[in-house]
Amino acid sequence: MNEKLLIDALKKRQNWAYEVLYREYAPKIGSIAKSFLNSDDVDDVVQDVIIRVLKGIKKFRGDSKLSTWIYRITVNVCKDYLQRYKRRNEVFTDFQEGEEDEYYLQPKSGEDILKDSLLEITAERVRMALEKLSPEDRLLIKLRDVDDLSYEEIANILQKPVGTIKSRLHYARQRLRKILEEGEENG
Amino acid sequence: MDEFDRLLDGEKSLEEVSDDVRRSYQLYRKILEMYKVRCEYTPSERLKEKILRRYKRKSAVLTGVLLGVFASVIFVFVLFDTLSLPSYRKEKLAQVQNPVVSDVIYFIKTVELISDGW
Repeated sequence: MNEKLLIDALKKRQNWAYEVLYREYAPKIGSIAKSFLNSDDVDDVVQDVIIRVLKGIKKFRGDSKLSTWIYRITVNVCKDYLQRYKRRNEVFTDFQEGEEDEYYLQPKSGEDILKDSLLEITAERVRMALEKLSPEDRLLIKLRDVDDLSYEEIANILQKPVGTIKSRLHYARQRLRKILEEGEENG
Repeated sequence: MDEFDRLLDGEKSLEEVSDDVRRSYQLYRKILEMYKVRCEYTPSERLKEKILRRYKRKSAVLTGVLLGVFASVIFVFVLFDTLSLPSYRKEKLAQVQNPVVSDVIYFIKTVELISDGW
């Protein structure tokens, strides 16, 4: 899909453009919200972000990619939600109980002795490890290591210099590594 | 950035790093796979319709407010105009009466001029 065509159609409020926007971006918005917030408000975030996109598309000048702009809105909306959570002082539970069993890692044939330790990694351990990270750390790891976005794109989304992003990601990775290794030693 | 970062960023291969880093990397990749699964999100059709409805409703509300403001301005203008009609009518009446008076004055002045001429 030609991005310019999509933007023009969104500005003209054409229904097909909304369909494309929702199909292409709602899963990504939801995914970021899930990693950032660790809460059940993903649908609400998706809703708020898409409404903001539809309302703000006329002001979108195309200085960055559409996806970067949408990700930036998503991060801002997520930050608003985090602020709300802090105000309400809510304690959120992560993923539903019972899901854990689905994610037990299975060893692959031919793998070295690592597989024994990897076997022990359960979804519960992953959940706990990720919960120990700050939302910003989780977001950086998600954008770079899961979604494979470039440092420049992440810098654009978070509106921070590339050097800051690299440095923060380095520490986020180190923290996650440390948590995982500690988990291994204890487990 | 250390070896681990370079490995993750594809700047180094597994063969180029120490055993410790390789082990950490493999563990980390596994975690990322699970993290990816955890973050997966499939938006529903219901949500799509809901967002569209909410957006259209918001636009309709905005249009309604603008129309309301416009209608109020028109109403105030008409009301003001209506209330000020009696004085306007008075002016109109005065304008109608004035020619009668001025005609008389004009007539007198003409008579005066004629008499002066004579």
